[in-house]
Amino acid sequence: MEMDADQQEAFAELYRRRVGMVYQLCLMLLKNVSDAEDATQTVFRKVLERGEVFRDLEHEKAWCIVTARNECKSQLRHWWRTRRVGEEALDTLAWEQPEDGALWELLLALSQRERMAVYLHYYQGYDTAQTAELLGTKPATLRTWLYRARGKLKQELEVEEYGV
Amino acid sequence: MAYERLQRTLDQVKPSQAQEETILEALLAEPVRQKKSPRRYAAVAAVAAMLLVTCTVAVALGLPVLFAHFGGGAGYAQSSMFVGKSVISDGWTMTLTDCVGDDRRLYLGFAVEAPEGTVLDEEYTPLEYIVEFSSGKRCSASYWTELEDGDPADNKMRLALWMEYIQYEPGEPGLLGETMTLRLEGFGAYVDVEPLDSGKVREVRLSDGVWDFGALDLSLIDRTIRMEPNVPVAVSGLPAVVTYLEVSPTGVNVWLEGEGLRDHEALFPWGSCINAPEIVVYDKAGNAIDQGEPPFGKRGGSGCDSDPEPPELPYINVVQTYENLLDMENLDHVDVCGVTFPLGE
Repeated sequence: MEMDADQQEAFAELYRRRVGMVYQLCLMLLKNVSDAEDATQTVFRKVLERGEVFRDLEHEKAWCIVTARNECKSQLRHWWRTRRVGEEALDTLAWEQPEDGALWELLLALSQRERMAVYLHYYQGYDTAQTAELLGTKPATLRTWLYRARGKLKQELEVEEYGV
Repeated sequence: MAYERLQRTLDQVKPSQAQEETILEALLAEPVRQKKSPRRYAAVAAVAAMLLVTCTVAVALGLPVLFAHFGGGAGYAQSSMFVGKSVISDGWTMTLTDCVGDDRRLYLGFAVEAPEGTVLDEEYTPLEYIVEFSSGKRCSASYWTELEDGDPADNKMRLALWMEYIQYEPGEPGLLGETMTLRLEGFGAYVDVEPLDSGKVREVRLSDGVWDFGALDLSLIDRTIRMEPNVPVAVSGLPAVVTYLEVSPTGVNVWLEGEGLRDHEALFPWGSCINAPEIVVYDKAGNAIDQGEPPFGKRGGSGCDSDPEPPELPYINVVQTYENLLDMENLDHVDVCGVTFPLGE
């Protein structure tokens, strides 16, 4: 099925609105640039295949987050996929300040669920109930993940800033 | 401030302008295959019903395609289903002759008959194919190949659609028992455009036909042997436990888990861990069964050497597949890392 010019424009707008977030998530979970690019493309292909308008921007954002996470989980368990090291991801990022790179490395060293919890709660600004819902877990469990993550990030962050 | 620090760091993790544009360009260049809502699908089906003549026939085009491909035999007899359903559209008759497989892999055989005078001498296939399963499962990989063709210059050809469904968790149910709907749209080929490294293809469309096969119950007999042996083995010296073992007509699926596999990537870089466990299936005469050239390659799998969630332990999942369908009644045992697991009665 071919898209007409209006549909292409609408899709491109949505893409530009969300590609940064989707790529960020994919790179954070897959730790590899080319895998993150592939996963990003797959997420937006699913947007196209979905063929339905999102209820609102929040719905669109949440849908992209959940789809990106599922796609990454699927890739990580893919039949033919074998785990790759994250060096490519680290090498290609240029940091404003060296300690930013150190924090990124620590983030990547968190478990997947801790990484997702930190990203959604502290970076995307979802509250614990919303974050738990997006990750398909209970708020109490989410708080445990955040607690553990904060402990692991302690050496880089002034974690007392982060109350849950 | 810590929040600003995290914000600043993650703000720097973004695709470059070039990456963004490359991905968008690729997306806009792809044909979009939208999922159809049930209501819209019903409307399309009603229109299609007026345009198509659908009939179930005993195949007049010779032997069922996969029967001929696999040469019959016990493996085929145990794991196959005769379908013989023909759909005519745009003067083309597409017959789904038979279906073979198991929970993990499903192969469909098609006989194609184009209008008289059409020469099917290239590797033509349906241009679009929509396969849906009642539970919403999606195959992780699928592709078409042309099978043996008695007369490459006539208006007939035989095709196979190979599909694979990944098991993400040990013991997870697969495709058997599902109802599959199948619809083919257009017939032709995608041909590479010079220069070949441009990655661009040109569509050669021989027919605009739509062949809607409707619903097909995958009532293949479940021949798979499944076990949860929890038997210790050594994977190249690393202690692990075989927690799940599955032998099906198309392959062997083994899950090895254990703390001993933590950080195994140091020993098996770049995921080569999936090649480490030796797996050999033996028939009752004591012969090791040759894998041949399976449709999805000889071996696949996944592994995690730290922090998997779930399962809670590092693991290696190995899938070893076979070109020919295994005769499940003639299997004796499978050796995994030198440990024997009986498969007979």
